[in-house]
Amino acid sequence: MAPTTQAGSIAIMPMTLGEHRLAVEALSVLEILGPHEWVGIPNTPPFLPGALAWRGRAIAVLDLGPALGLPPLRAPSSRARNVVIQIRDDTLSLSVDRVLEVLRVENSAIRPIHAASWIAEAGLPCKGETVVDEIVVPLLDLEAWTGGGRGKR
Amino acid sequence: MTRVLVLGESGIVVPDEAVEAIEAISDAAELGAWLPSLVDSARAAGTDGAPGSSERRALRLRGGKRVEVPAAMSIAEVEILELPPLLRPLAGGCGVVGITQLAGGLGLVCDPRLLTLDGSDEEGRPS
Repeated sequence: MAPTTQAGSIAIMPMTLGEHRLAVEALSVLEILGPHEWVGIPNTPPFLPGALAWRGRAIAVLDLGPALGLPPLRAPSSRARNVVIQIRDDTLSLSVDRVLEVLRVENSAIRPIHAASWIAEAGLPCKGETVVDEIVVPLLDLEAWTGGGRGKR
Repeated sequence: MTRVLVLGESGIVVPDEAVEAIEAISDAAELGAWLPSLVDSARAAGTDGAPGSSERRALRLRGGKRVEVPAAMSIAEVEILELPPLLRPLAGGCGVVGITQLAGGLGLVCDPRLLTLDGSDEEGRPS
């Protein structure tokens, strides 16, 4: 993974989904929307249930709820926050409950998944985990998912 | 802006360019492929269901296929937002090519010519 910020550190954006706390790389975030209407697309897997209109185009909706044992999104209602993320050529919206303040963490503070093994068991690819406010937070690897995992999950 | 047929309350629109003709259905015994169910059976079950022949019309599509749709149709000019590459291979089999903003919310743009009519013949009738 190429460094995305200053040498030796990375900016992450923590967020909550149910009782789970997750994070993504902050530089992949394009915009944070409030509740946003979306439409279900047939034949899609539970984690990628539909699309929403954003800046004059359609982007995929990513729902991690079912993988985490939470109720799935039901169109047209989203969760309270929709994080628009750019991953390579894909733009998608990750629907979550809360978005927390962006933090900079040392690369050395990103450890292999251990305490947050529940996220690996849920089938969500991660770059590692770090500790924020004494809570272990997995750093999602959405790039791996949109690349190798495209259409397979 | 693209001219489309808005299919009743199904939340589905069909680009006008896909349609050769709209035909009445005269024989109730000849009911064919019901488009809302082909696109999304869950969605169809929650709205129009599959009504009888008097509430249906047949779309004869450019290229020869034929599907049946709610008789309550309207024509609108809408902006079609194409599906992103991430969703295209997943939604292609049900003919969904994009989304659009309708009066009642977001709708699906379906080109029925792309539908995989499982269990039906070339004319779109159930086998």
